[in-house]
Amino acid sequence: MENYKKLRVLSNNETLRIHENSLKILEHTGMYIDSENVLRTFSELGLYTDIAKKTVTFPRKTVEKCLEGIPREVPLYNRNGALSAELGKGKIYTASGHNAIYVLDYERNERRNATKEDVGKFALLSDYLPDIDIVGIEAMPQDVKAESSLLHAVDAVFNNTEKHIFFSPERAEVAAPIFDIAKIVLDAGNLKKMSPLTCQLSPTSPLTWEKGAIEALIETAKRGVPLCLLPQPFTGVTSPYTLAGHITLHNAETLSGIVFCQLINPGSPVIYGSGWSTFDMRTANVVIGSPETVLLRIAGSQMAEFYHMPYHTIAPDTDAHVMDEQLAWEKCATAWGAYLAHSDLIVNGGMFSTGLTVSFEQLILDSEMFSYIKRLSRGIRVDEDTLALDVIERVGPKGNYLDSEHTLKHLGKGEHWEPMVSTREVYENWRKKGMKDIVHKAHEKAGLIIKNHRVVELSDRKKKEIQKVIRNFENSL
Amino acid sequence: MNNPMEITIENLRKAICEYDNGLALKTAKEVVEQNIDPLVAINAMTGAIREIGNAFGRGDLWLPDLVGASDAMQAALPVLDEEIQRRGAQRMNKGVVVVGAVFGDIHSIGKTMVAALLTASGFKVEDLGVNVQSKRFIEAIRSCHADIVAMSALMTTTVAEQKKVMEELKKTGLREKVKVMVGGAAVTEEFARTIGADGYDPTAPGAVELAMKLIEK
Repeated sequence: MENYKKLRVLSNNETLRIHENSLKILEHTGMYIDSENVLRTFSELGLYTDIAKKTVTFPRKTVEKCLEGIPREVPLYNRNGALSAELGKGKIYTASGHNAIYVLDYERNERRNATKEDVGKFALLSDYLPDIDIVGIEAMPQDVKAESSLLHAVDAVFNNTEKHIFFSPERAEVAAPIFDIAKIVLDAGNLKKMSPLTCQLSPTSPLTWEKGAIEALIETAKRGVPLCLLPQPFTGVTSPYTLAGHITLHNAETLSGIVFCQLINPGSPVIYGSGWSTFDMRTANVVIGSPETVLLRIAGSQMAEFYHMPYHTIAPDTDAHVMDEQLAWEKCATAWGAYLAHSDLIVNGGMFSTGLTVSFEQLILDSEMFSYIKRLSRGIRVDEDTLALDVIERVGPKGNYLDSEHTLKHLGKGEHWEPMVSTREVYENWRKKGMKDIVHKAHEKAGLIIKNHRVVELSDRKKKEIQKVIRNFENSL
Repeated sequence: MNNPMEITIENLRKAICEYDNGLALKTAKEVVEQNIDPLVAINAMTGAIREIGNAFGRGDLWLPDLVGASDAMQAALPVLDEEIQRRGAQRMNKGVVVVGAVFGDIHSIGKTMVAALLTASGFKVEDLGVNVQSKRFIEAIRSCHADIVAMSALMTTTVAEQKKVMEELKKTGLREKVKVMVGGAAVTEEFARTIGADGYDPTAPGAVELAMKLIEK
């Protein structure tokens, strides 16, 4: 069968219990909002607010009504206004990214701070790679003003890819100029009908929306730009240590974001986001490659399914700091978790070291892994032609399928996956070609792509206008 | 046969090792009632914490064990500190540390963990909380005669504040008088070096080790 069945780690009853508990949390405990203005806005929109305590609680009926109104599918557009993805229709979309700090230098193989030029090159690679559908902000440039780092990153990405972009601002003051940049690129007065970017925002666990994040949420929802709500609590630190409790807190926080968006702009597109992280209590560090995070990726997708909304998660992820076997198996496990969960959008191509470091090689390798799981997701087509009964009977005993028309007909049509860099040769040939491992091959491939791939340039007018937005922003600091 | 004083001190150790805030506070009051030297009581607690810290370092215990023990000690400290003041004595401490999350940053858990672990390790800690303007850091460093200032920043937009504080320290002539350590998810070794901080550590237990090293310099 094609369209494989999604794996489930929660029963229907368990999903319901988590949902019910989320509603209880929102109704009785609520969320802390670090902005009186925002509290007043939501009070006027029907939520119960306590200005002194800076909390908002959510009547059950309001949450249910908002959930009914969310779109089940979220279309995404590219820089030219063409449809490039439809989240929620059963297809997996994969993205590079997201927000790393370091780059493993291509020439020197040393870890260093990311630069704006790096971000552009990652976008260029992403533009080329057929299995990267959406381009995230691979890293935050460290060689520009900290406050405008994201604007520079978005500038670099829009100039190096035509694909849809995924970004996360920390506050409205940064989000607004980025939306202006998107309008310039699109040559449109607003982003409602065809946004070339998706915004990701996070509350601060537990149960808090910081001023910056909640104001950015309002700016995003107002404009009808797709919003990926991504809580990121850490088990045993900012959420319960037990997974079911962790999922519940995550879910309650996501629901709060959904309600806010729908109250500001009913019907605005939202995505159930997740950056599942557990916390290692021996080393006092966040981890994103643990087996628990694999389970959580699947459980989270069941919650999203319950709400009939597209699901985003992160993968392939690892806590390893070098390209060793731990990196490989954690990436494989987490990628499989995302795939088995039937995730609509999977972000994090190119990352390792718990999401702090990225490299060109890793992006090539993760693209290969995305390609592998996309093949898995296409399943096995069973029909008269693929069953090939007549072919089997014709070729008969001691026959050979190599020269059969049936074989020739199906070559290169997707029945069998073709790798970009994985080794498939016999040992002798591999030895003769230099005994290159996959990292070496990814390194060479990345170099070739950066050298040869070109993206249609933005017009000079658009480039100038974008620079003006950035300059105005920096002058206002 | 244990005398009542020994039993009380033993109960205090027990409260720390069992992360029992209630017992720690109760026993601290007994220390005062029984006229036991509060400095002896504090030494008993920091001894227990040190053992737990070592076990954590070996991988035998977990972070919540360390945090639980520190919390229990913090429950007992105010009562004992008050008694020390009343006696006109002074608590020996390893050094004074001003702790805070920089302006614009409201992330508190990591910073609070660092403050708790530093206290448990024998430092005197002035926790300024979150969203702390550079002015407040400077005032606190001055008024507490701080040996170390520990700043955290968890967002790439707030990390720049740490640089501001460094500049204020230089302007006010305090830079030589205090050691600066930085931490938080947005801070990197490179950034710490660029702004001229004396040390950087990404984890709470690591921050304590760093503070120990800095105080010896």
